[in-house]
Amino acid sequence: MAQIALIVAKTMKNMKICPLCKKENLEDAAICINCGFDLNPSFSADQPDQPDWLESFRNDPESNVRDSLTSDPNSSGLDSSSEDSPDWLARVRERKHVDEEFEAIQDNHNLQNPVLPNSKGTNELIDSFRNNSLSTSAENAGADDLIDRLRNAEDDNYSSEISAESGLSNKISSEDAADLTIDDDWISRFSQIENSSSEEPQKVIPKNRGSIPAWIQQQAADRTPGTTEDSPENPVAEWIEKYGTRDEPAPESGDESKIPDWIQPLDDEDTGDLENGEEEGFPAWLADKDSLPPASMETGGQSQPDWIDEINQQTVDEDQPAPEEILPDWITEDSSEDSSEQVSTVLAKKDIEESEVKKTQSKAPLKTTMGLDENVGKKAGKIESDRSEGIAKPPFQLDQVPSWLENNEDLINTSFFEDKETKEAFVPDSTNQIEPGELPAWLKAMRPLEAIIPAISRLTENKHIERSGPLAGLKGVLSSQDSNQTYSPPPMYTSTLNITEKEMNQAAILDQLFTEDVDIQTKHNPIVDIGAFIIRLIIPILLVGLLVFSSLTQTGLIERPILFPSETVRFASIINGLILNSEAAPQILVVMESEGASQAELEILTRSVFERLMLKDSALSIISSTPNGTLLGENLIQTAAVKHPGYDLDKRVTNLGYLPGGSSGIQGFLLDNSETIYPSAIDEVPDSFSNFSAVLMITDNAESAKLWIEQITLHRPQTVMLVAAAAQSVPMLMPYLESNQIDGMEAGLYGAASYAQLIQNEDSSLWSFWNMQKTGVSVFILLIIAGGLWYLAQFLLKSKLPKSR
Amino acid sequence: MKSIPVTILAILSGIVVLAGFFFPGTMLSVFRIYALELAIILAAFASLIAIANLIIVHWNKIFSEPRQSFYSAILLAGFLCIFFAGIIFTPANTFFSKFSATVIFTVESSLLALLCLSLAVACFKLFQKRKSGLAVVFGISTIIFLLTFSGFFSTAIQFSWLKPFLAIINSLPLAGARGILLGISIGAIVTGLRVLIGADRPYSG
Repeated sequence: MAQIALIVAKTMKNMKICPLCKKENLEDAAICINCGFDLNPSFSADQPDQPDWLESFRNDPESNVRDSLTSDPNSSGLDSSSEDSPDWLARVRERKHVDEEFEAIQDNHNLQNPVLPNSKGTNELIDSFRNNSLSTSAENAGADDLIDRLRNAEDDNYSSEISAESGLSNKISSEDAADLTIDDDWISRFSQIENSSSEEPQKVIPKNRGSIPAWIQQQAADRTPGTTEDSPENPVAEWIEKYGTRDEPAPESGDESKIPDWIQPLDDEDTGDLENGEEEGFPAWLADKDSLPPASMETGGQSQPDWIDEINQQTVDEDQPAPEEILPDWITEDSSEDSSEQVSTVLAKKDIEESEVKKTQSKAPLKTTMGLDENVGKKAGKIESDRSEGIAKPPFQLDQVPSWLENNEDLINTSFFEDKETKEAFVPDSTNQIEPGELPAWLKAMRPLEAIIPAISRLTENKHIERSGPLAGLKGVLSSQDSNQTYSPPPMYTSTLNITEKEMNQAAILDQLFTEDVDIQTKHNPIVDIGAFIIRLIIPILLVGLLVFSSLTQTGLIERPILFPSETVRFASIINGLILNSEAAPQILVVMESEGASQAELEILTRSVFERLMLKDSALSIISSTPNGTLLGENLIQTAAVKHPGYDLDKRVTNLGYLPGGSSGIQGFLLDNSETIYPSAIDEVPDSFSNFSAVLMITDNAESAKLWIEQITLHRPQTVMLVAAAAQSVPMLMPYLESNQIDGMEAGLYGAASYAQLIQNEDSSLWSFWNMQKTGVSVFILLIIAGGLWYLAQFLLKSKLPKSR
Repeated sequence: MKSIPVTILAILSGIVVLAGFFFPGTMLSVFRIYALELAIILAAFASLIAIANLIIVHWNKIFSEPRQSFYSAILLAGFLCIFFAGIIFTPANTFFSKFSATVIFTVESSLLALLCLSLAVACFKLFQKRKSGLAVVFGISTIIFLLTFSGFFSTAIQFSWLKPFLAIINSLPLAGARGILLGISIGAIVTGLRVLIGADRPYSG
């Protein structure tokens, strides 16, 4: 495969492979066509012949191993890596170099001013890192796993290569240690590579390696006895060795400048405390935990997880005296007390455990370490619990607050967390004792009740802490008690009615009205006026007597009509024309629109007409839009036929029956009567409506007559329309008469009398009714006029009497 | 929802009948005639249903409220008598005609007589209670109508000036009747249009 790869590489000699995506590009391509990677970096242009250090990653490992074995040992891979590194790595190194220079300057400044590193902001930053150690350790675990995998792969690929170059690289690293800007991770990686290549026995790696940063593990692995001190060819750079040589005198400032600043202050303090070189396996930031017993360092320092180091670091930080001028008084007091107690406790435990550890060192070093860590962890947990509780020893208690501040609403917080802040913020000054103030009596008297009660309720409310449920421990989060505590009775309103005198009078009048109505119904009976009673008897008796007298006696006092209505004249003319002018017997459609109430009047009206038509033996067809109409029509014809016995009712009179449907039925009958009119045996019945000579409508109902008139005028305008109407329907039919939709009309008894006068009919019954009507009308008119005059006289008399009085 | 098809049917029927009226001699007019005949048959059948419903109601009332159903029993007795008499004697029979007409005339005439007396009493009460201008106007109009329609002046031929006076008086009820008829006609047109556009649906139940 390697041979094939070499052949392919030679054939593709002119092609340029992207180091990032491994895609082939043209030789003159400036960037990768796939990923846009810069294929012609500046450093490569300056030294195009030198091999890229990344080529070792790209080529076959076997070929790399072979090449490395065959290559000149003087040509160091690290050298090439430092010189032929890619652009991004060069930038990283440059930035690292600048940072280190800045840190060197800062360290020099710190040496001159040693108080500054314990500034509050630095402590807070470190504390924040410590507090987040658990969370960040989990994140670092994943990253460390990835880094470990990459390192393992690199170890597999380049173990043989780098082992061959280790000697040269050691020299180069020792010579250029000051200028080497590679970060610690890179250095640890190469040191690990060298260790792996030296074929030393593998050390026991804790299972929880992922929680420990890789470079710590590498450092711890490299610092194991017999490997770091005894190996003359230690490939680790000289500047790295300063982490392990704690027993050496204080390093030079130039070397310290390469140490990160977060390690520097602790390292400076701890260098004097570290006496044993057994701790040199720990990095400086881990070794500065001087509070740890030496036994723990000797036995299993390399297996300590981060959280233990963090706890130790916290213990050390508490042991360190903080500048009192920076921290508040209450913090210094509490911290001094706590720290002294804690340090004494820890030191006592350290002594005990140190002796125990010395006994059991060879047996269970890890267990001893863990036991110590547990104790330390418990102490640290106690400290943390004290800190987390915070309120266990607050800067001041509520009972310590002066009484004049208890009712101060500014100090009454609304939440649990605000209380803590408030307690920390408001520190009573013991030097300035303020005497409890008291409001003047007159001012207390002026205070409203609402100004006092809500304050009390809020004060008690803030003291309530939820003891159960998901909100346990929180204060003032539930407001269910607010309404109970802040409840105040509803305002009182007076129930008296404010009313004016005018309104009272109006109400009295209204009450009097209803009272009078009740009195009228209960107390007063209708007063019977004898005069009125007599009048009420006289008038009906007079009317009935006069009508009977007029109907029974044929007196000459009542004249027959001389003036005839024009419609009656036309009616008589048409009837005479039908009888006299036509050769054949006229076919008359009799429309009977009556319910029978005016049957007597209609009989008087139509009797002379039917007698006239019977003289010519006219064919009569009866139809009605009311159920009783045909029956009434037959009755009229039968009554009129009494004086004409020769008139054959069975043959000449046809009952067409009831016509349902109102106007629709009338319209249908007028449009097609051949189907509406049942074909009777009488031949005289015409087949169509147009064959009728005339239509004689007998009605006392103006609405029904109107329907017939409108439909006949609309559909059969040439039809002769004659109407014999009762007096009550005449006014509504007058417009149709005026518009000639009705050709002739016999209107009421006056029309019947006029028609009788025109045809010279001497019917006694007609004239008796005529006399009765005229007498009755005269009496009614006289009574109306007499009554009007009577009331007018009463009105005038009543109007004159007050004036005279 | 159920009124929607009924409304559509009513509107279509009205539009077709109206169009058949404006376009005689076409299919629309033929459809209009058939629609009218169908309406007449339905109205006749509705009359039979109304008669049957009347009998059922009074029959049930007799057995449900025996003490208060005296007039219902009379109604049913009269209906059965006339019904079986018409079936036996046929409507053209004189006896049947006289028998039925006598009952109808007496009842209807009695009702009309009561109406006349009640109206006369109401007129007197009106004059007695309302002593105002309205009573005077009502009295005057009553007098005029009595004089004109009763033929009171039909004999006064010797008064030449009376004829134009009577013509003027006769024109007063004529004007009022025209106004009433015009109002009725306009109301009927509006009602028809409302039915055609679906704004008024009295048939939807």
